[in-house]
Amino acid sequence: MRKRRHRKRPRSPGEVELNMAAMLDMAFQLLAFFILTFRPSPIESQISLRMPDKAATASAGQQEDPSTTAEPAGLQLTISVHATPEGEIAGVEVGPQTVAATQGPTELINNLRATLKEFLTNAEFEGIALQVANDLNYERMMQVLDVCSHQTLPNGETMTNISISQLPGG
Amino acid sequence: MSGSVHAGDRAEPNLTPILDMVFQLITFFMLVISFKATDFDKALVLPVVGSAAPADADATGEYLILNLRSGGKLFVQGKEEPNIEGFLNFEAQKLKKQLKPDSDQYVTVVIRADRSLRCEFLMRVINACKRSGLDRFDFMVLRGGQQQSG
Repeated sequence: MRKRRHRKRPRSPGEVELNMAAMLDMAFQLLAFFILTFRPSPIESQISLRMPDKAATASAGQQEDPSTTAEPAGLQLTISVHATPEGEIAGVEVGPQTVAATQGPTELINNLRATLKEFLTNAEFEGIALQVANDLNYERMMQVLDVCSHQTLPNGETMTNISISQLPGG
Repeated sequence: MSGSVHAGDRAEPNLTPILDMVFQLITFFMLVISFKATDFDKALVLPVVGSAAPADADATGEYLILNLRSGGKLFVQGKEEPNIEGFLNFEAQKLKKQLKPDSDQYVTVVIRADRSLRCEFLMRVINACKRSGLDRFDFMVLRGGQQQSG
């Protein structure tokens, strides 16, 4: 049997042979690093509010441009949110009416939604003044705020005139 | 017949396609890395709210991102700010100077607060912002169904 002889192909003087294995090693290490450290963050949403400082607006007097001051005007519906020492909602008052709930925060939020709708349909309120207790949990406050921001006024516009303040007496 | 492998029989796989693919993956991961990560405090667990609007990417102006931890501490770009009122006043003046004159741009305070934060501290920060002339707020939340890890 005749042996085939493999001879190394003579390299032309200008030809350069790259060592791809080393580059591939490095690239895989980089890839492993990125895969291991990659943690996609959840997509955040937002509730946008404009809340001018009453004291600042009042002190500015008549020179304030009305287009730049969105000071809540007109009739305001006051919502008072009371809290337990643990930060849960202890009770909610919409104007003079207390929102009843016996089965926890979800029912309370649903009842609040219904009560608010009723109030805003039957009266000419133009904004909501939200008063929150000092102990209230931020998440609970945002749930109440979310309900408020999804209300519609009798003219069909979405409620944007919302102010937040501390409940008198904490 | 010889069974041994000669040096001349060595296979030389073409590494170029695999290298191409690996570099494309690396490019992808480099692009999705958020270089603004320092603004967002990973220690926070945002509240989950049913139906908040997606974050508005078209809004113009300047942003002041405040991270409020559950213990009642303000963190900005990874650093705790103990003097809240002083810091907000300074930042408000600085950011307002960066707005284009005669434009409808404004400074928005982005509040990222922990879900278990007490409202007392939140109101302190909001009132300090108002006193500094900052009256636009974006409260960051997660939409219902999303859960934040860690």
